[in-house]
Amino acid sequence: MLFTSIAKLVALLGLAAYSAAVTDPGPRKTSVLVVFDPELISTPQDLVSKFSLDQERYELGFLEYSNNQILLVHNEKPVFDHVVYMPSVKKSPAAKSVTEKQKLLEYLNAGGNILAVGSVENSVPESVVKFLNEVGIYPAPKGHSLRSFFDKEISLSEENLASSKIVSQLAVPLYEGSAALISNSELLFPIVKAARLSFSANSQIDALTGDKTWTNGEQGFLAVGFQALNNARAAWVGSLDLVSQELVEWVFQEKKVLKLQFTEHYKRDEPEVNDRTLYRIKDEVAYSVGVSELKNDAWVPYTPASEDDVLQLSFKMLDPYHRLNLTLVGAKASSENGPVDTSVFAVNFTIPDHHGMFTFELDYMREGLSYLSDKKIVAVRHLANDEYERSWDITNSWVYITSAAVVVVAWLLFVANFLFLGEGSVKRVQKEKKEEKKE
Amino acid sequence: MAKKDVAAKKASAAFAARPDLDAATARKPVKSSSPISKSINDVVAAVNTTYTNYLKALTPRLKLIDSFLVFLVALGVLQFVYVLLVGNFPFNAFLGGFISCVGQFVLTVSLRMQYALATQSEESKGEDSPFPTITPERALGDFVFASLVLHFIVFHFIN
Repeated sequence: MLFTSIAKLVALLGLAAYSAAVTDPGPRKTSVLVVFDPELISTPQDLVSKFSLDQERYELGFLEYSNNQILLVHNEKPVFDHVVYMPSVKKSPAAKSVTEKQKLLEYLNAGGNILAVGSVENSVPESVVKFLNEVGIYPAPKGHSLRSFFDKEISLSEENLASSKIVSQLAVPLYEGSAALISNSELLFPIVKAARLSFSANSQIDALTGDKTWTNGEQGFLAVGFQALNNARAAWVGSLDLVSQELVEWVFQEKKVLKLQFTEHYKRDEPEVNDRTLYRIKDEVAYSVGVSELKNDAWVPYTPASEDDVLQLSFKMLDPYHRLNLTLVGAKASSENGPVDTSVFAVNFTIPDHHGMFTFELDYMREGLSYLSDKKIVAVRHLANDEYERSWDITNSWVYITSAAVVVVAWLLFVANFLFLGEGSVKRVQKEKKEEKKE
Repeated sequence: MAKKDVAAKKASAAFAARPDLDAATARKPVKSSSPISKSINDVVAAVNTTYTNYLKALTPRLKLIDSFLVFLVALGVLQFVYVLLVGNFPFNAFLGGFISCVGQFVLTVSLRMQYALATQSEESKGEDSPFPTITPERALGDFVFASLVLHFIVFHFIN
């Protein structure tokens, strides 16, 4: 009875979140579903402070793994903005509708964010692990914990941060949890890696052999982020201790979220004609994009954090003929009379001496940031018949023109002389020859 | 006196010629052993014969044609050297200039063949001539017409 009442409450909360989004233009409340096992977590309300989930910002719903009455996706839209999976004692709990791999993929494809939390003894349900395997994260099986022969307890320091793009600091003195192997997918962002001398194996086995360990040394990862091509985010952490506010904000799309406001290209001679579809070879072209970043629920101009995060433009026809770094030229408002919320990045270049169908391609995939991609196809024509330089404009060809003219003059002189010499002279020569013969 | 002088001259000439003879006899085995020098001598002799024959057959008009041909070859070579040194950037202009030389050369050579044969065949009444029906006037007319076409095309090609 309690479960069904919770389920109803959650469904109501979901609806409330949507209606709030429609009526209130201010910072939107997002809905979070936390799926947990009451055998492990008796008072789920404790998680609220753990996750630093502010009740004013989130519509919270709690669901037990035994409840099978909640849908993640309805009408191809996610019912909840974010789902958190806590560890479960049972490998395959009753809540099939929220734990099945296919359902989770559907949810991710619809744009929902997923956070899965492991622990020393228990893992998330097997079907959720299968979903994690699908995106390239392979958490250690149930009972495998991260251990080391050199330290009784494993401590994590800044050295264990695989990358500081998503989580900038670690506040976990002692780590108790599991580790995961990851694939080499480009959509995965390792966050925390295991210590060099650690390994993960079943804690009940003392005699350690190669095939009893799941990860060895830095091969193992304790926290991994994933961002799908539709910018939906997922993360797996090996222990509840690793769940920090930074990580939650990243997974729940509250930071490192970018928006492409506009892209435009024009000929530098005629800046008033935007996004023309026809260019000529060797035209001088300007290309610019506007990008906003989400900060504290507001769009602000985006500034790349480092050199590596520079935006790039490819001008390509099968192969990129140009791949250029865009430079930040300033900020402007994305709408008229609106706040200044967009950074403008631009580059000028010359269209290559090659005609065909070209694409202005912006493909921005940087660690931890939303992916931006934009393609604009244009035709590049060759020079028209009357656009070529005349020969006499090219100094090199003066030699050849002179030569051809000299040939003509010489030919005229030749013909004139030829006629002037006349038959008489020929006859005279012939006469001389005849005289010679007679002699 | 005169006879004596002549005889003395002959004798001295014969005497003077002897070392030459000796030298010639001495060289003979060498000559037979190197056929290359012999063939070179043959070639030189052939060239000399050809040259004298050419000079004999030369009329003022043929001489004019030949000097025009030499001029065209020189101009063509000059352009080719220029293109090797400077590069072939306005390639159509180079082709135009070069082809005007080559084309004019070919046309002039045709004129020379037809003209020379036509005038010869006037002498020999058209025997053995490959162009029995072509008169010198016709040959010149063809030449002028073809050259005009050539120059027209060349100047359009140079653009």
